[in-house]
Amino acid sequence: MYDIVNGLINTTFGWNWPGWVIALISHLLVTTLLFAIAPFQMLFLTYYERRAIARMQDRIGPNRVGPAGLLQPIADGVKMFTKEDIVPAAADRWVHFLAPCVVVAPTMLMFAVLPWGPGMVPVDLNVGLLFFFAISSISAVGLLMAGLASSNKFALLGAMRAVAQMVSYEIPAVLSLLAVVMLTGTLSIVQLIEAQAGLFISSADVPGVPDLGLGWFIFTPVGLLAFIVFFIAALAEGERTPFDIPEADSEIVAGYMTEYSGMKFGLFYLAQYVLNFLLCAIAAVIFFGGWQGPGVGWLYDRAISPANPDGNWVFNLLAGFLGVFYLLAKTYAFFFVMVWLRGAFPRLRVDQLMDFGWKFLIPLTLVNIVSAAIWVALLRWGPEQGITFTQNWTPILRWGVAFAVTLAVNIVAYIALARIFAASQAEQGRIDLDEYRDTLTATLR
Amino acid sequence: MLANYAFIAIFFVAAVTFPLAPLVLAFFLRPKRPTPIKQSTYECGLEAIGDLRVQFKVQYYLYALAFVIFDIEVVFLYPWAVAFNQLGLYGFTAAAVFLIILTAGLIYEWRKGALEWV
Repeated sequence: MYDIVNGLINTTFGWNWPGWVIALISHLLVTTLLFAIAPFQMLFLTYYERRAIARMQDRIGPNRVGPAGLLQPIADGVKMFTKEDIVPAAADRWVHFLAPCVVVAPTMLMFAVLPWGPGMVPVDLNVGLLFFFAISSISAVGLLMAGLASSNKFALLGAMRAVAQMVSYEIPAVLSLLAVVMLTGTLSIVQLIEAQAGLFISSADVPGVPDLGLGWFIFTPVGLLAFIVFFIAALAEGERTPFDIPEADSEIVAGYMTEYSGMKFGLFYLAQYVLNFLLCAIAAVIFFGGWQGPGVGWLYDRAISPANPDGNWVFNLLAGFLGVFYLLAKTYAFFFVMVWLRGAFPRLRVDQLMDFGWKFLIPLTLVNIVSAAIWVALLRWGPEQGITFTQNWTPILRWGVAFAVTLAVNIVAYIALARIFAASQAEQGRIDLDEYRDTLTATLR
Repeated sequence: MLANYAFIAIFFVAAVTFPLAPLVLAFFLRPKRPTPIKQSTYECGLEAIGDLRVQFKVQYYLYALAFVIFDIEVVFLYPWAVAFNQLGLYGFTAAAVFLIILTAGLIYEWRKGALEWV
């Protein structure tokens, strides 16, 4: 955005404003734009989810308000605004009021490091990935506030479940990203995307690969396993079915949202959908190349960028449109998978959820880290790092060997860990059954 | 670099104001007719019994403890991962020892039953 504003004001109009004014203008513009987009994104996602889930359940879904029901979310919004705000007499009014704000604010702050297109990142932090996940975990505090302040046992149960689930699944999510960070050696989200140029093989790994913007991490065994773990963990972080235990309607009413109504409830809803959008977007960015795709790199080479200050800003716009299109297409594809899972799977039990996270996903990510180390050692390391036998290999041979070895390690690890996990679950099932039989016989006597 | 964080500050102010705006707007739009029944704690048709602050299932705290250990591990591992390209075998061995100790801890926790939901 800085480049476009700079190009418009200084190059096209020739006003020669100082750099910090342009930076301020472009930052304020970006902030306004993002905060205007986010609610509409959320409104569209709720509409989309209701329509898609209706199709899967052989219904039609909302189709009365506006063309094909498109204005339904607006009507819902109006209802939220005009609903009475009921605060229970026993509740802690201030904490009850602050909880939705504490949940929404960090979720919005996560937009600050999400790149939308080439050269279109609100702020390119060198610790962007860490910032994203550090901020995302703050909303757990808001959920606990909501549960404690409501002074309702359903709310407290829901909040405890939500926090336990969020902290448990944060570890596999962050550890799976660690493997990708090892492949690139950077935490900047922009550089992570730039490392995914190429055609099935990243241009950074094998020089000379044609750049079609398709060198995504998902095409490496390490990235594939990391993506699977990350997507499952993202489902749990965003409280999506089959991990929607914190708001399991049939058990604990609406979890931590039980005592909320009107706009405060609306804010929880907003935070949840914006978080889902962001998690889908970050999955697309880190494993599917974000704005990378055929044509974007070619257009951006002709645009104004730090590397090419004489470019034409029209190419900035074209590359930006194409990049945003690719990113949103990938993001909505992931959101569709989330809706699909909701239509296909029943809810897990709490113990199943915790066991799956701690006993399967975390060991799997630990193996994946070793796998990433092997990948880097075979592909990048030379004599100065203590690896001599790969010295005379060609880049493509090194890539092939690294691919085969990491694929073998990951498949063996997956099968072995799945067997261990299944055996431990089966053992638990037997113990439960024995106890049940004993109690039953005791009662009958 | 400092300018980046100045922008984060702008973003932070906007992010904090963002949820307050609809709440303030809703404050002027919505009806306010509280009654004792409406303001009672939600329960399935009964009156809520007992205090909220009761002893809670200890399992949640065990998970929280395990989380703290692993989160610190992640914080240690991230700088290592960023520098991994240049570290060489020595750096890899050092981190491998660290990982093995943590994995041993995880296995110990598992065998000890700290990860069981009872």
